[in-house]
Amino acid sequence: MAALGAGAVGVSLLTVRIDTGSAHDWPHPGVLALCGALIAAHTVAGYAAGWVLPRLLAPPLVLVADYLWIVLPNTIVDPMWPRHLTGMLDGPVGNLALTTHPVALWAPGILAVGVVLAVVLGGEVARLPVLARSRLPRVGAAAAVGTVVVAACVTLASAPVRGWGGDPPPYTRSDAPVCTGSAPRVCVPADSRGDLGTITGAAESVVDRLAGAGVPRPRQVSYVTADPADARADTWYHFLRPGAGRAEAERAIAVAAARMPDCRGYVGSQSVLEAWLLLTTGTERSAVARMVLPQDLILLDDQVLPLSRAEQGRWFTETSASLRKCRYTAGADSNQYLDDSRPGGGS
Amino acid sequence: MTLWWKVRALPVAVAGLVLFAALAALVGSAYAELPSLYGATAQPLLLFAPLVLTLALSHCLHRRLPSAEATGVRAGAWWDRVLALAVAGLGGGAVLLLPFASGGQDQAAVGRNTLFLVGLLLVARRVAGELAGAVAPVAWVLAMTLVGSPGPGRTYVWAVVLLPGGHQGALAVSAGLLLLGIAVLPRGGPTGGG
Repeated sequence: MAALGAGAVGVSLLTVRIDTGSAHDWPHPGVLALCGALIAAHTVAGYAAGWVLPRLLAPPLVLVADYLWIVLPNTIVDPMWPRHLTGMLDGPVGNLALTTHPVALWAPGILAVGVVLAVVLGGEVARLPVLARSRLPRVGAAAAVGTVVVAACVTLASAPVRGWGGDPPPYTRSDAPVCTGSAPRVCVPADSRGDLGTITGAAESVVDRLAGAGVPRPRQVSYVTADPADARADTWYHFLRPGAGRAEAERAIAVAAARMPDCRGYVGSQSVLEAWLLLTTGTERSAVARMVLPQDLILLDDQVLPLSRAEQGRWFTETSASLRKCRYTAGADSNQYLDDSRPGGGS
Repeated sequence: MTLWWKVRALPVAVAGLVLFAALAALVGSAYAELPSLYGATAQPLLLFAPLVLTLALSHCLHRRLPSAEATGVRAGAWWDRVLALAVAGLGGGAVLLLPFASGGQDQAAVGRNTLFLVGLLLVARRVAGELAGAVAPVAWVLAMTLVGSPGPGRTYVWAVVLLPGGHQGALAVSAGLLLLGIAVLPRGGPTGGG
């Protein structure tokens, strides 16, 4: 059974590899180790079920119970932590800077080890000579010991994931990026080494034009970091798909000047900021109109672009500061800047 | 008959019916995103409820004593047929009478699926043996969640258990498979009825 499980994992990995062509951060040793632990746990749990249940019923019961254990927690939205204990991982998709969160591997791993321990200890307890020779007390004692061990492991494994939502928090890769240049220094993940030339050219052009518009020069232009705590004040973090062209790179780096974190569920005016950055760096208005919501462009036209150069700079700085903290800014209400700078002005 | 229901552990079948009704009432109209080769699709959790009945029935039928019953004069095989029909009929009918049932497609589908899966169990027992037969309904349901629906709102006609409750063809196939399963149940001793 273990060989069958290992074979299934091998075929799955091969299928993904063939299907996606080049998969970044693959194969992840932690994911492979978790697969091994899960195969061991499910095999041992099946063995225990076969020992306790009637021979006819054990295979179908284990089949359906195993399936439901893997599948059902993902459908429960309150609480969400059980889904992080099954080992059914959703890898970070489309973001080269992220990797699987280590706790997302440890939590199901601890439970898997706990299941193996529970079966082994339960089996040993069932063989104790102090227990009656009949089957019921031996099975009862084994089940009690197994339940205690599994409950302890669930408590231990769930502790770090109880605050999580549906997905593990984004986790930035720790391997060193590939960098070049100095003003600004441009860094990409090793997987995107081939795009470094394109991104460097785009970065130099965009930084020069935004500097002319009053936006401070960054020391570094780097691939996005998902964790605001990792973000450095002097770095612009962009998100660019592998193999993107020069124009796409320029757009990605231009909007990176806002240095926005990933505000999940956030409703604000980041789109307006991005539109302003794109227009300021020379992107054609028709192209910008295709990239942002129409109402954001109307708002920009009505309230921001009529401001003076200095007022626009101040609007950009303060709005982006609020957005960086995932704070709602009630839209790009530029009147407050007029109010602040010109008492009685604005609305 | 007393000997028959003792040998067949009839309370297991009754417990299966009670558990089936309890599960159906508990699950109600809940749906779950189940993995599929074509992307996750939402399926009613009631899909799994009839498996309780097939497991209970396979356990009861497995307790048959072939050599003793082949030479006996009691109508054990006939009662086996009654048991299979009763489990399928009571299970399929009970789900329509539960308090939550509103005559909806999901409830009708569970009733139809009960007929289909009990029929599949009986035929698979005959063709592949009792152990494989007990696994067949579970394997069918899981396999159909994986390959039976090519996208949201679409179901291959051969998936049967995923089809809506009002699908006449699926109902006919399910009833036919149940009758076939009843027909291929082992025959009894010299009396012909068992």
